[in-house]
Amino acid sequence: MLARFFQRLVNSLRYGTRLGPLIGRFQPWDDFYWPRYNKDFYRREISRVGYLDRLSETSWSIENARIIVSSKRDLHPNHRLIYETALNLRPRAITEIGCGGGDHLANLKLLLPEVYLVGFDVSADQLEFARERNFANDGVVRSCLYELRVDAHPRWKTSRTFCAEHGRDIPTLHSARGKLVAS
Amino acid sequence: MAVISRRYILLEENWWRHNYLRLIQSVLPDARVLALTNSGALGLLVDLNFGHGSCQIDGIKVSSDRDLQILLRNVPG
Repeated sequence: MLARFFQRLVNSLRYGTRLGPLIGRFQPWDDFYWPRYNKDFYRREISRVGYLDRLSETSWSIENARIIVSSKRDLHPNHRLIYETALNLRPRAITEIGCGGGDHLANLKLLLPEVYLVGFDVSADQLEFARERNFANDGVVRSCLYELRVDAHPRWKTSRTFCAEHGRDIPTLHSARGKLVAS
Repeated sequence: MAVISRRYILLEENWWRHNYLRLIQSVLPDARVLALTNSGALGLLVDLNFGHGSCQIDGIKVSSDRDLQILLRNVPG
């Protein structure tokens, strides 16, 4: 109980102040309290967002690697950055670590239909939501037992993203070069 | 959130609470890190194949988390 309170206190400092990078050096735990992050929580979070989540909900076009949407709601700037970077780079394959509801993958599938896409997430609830929301009949999203960690330095090198459905480890960033995604 | 291709890793996060660059540089010392800005958003593009071909996208080269924080304050939008 006390430990949880302490974690919340540190996380609030990390989120709410500019001490984030400093605290990040010493914080050994994850940023999020994952048991809270279930399907219902995620659904509520999505409903609060005032941006366009899925390109399939409106008409859109691409002009000079920039996405033009016709609806009143625009894409979130961060999401636009992802899609337009992908449009510029035109990779053969894209893996999303922490795919959540799968909206990014669904949008990338529309924008780059020739690209091989796969998404991993540590939360079975979120993957179920992603399948329900975007990928009813294909295997784009897959479960992993451990999330790729990018902020807990001492553990980052040793943590694994484990694909439960395929029964094999996905290498961490440390050994990701040329291995993480089939090309 | 990380989007990964065979050559590139694109990170899009709340940068105020992270020290990603130090971590990336410790694990991937040869990688080149570019900051991409786009209408108020900031992402980090890690080029794993730096030195074996030019990057296919323009970005601002960043070498420390301090660079990133300064850049973040000046992101337009």
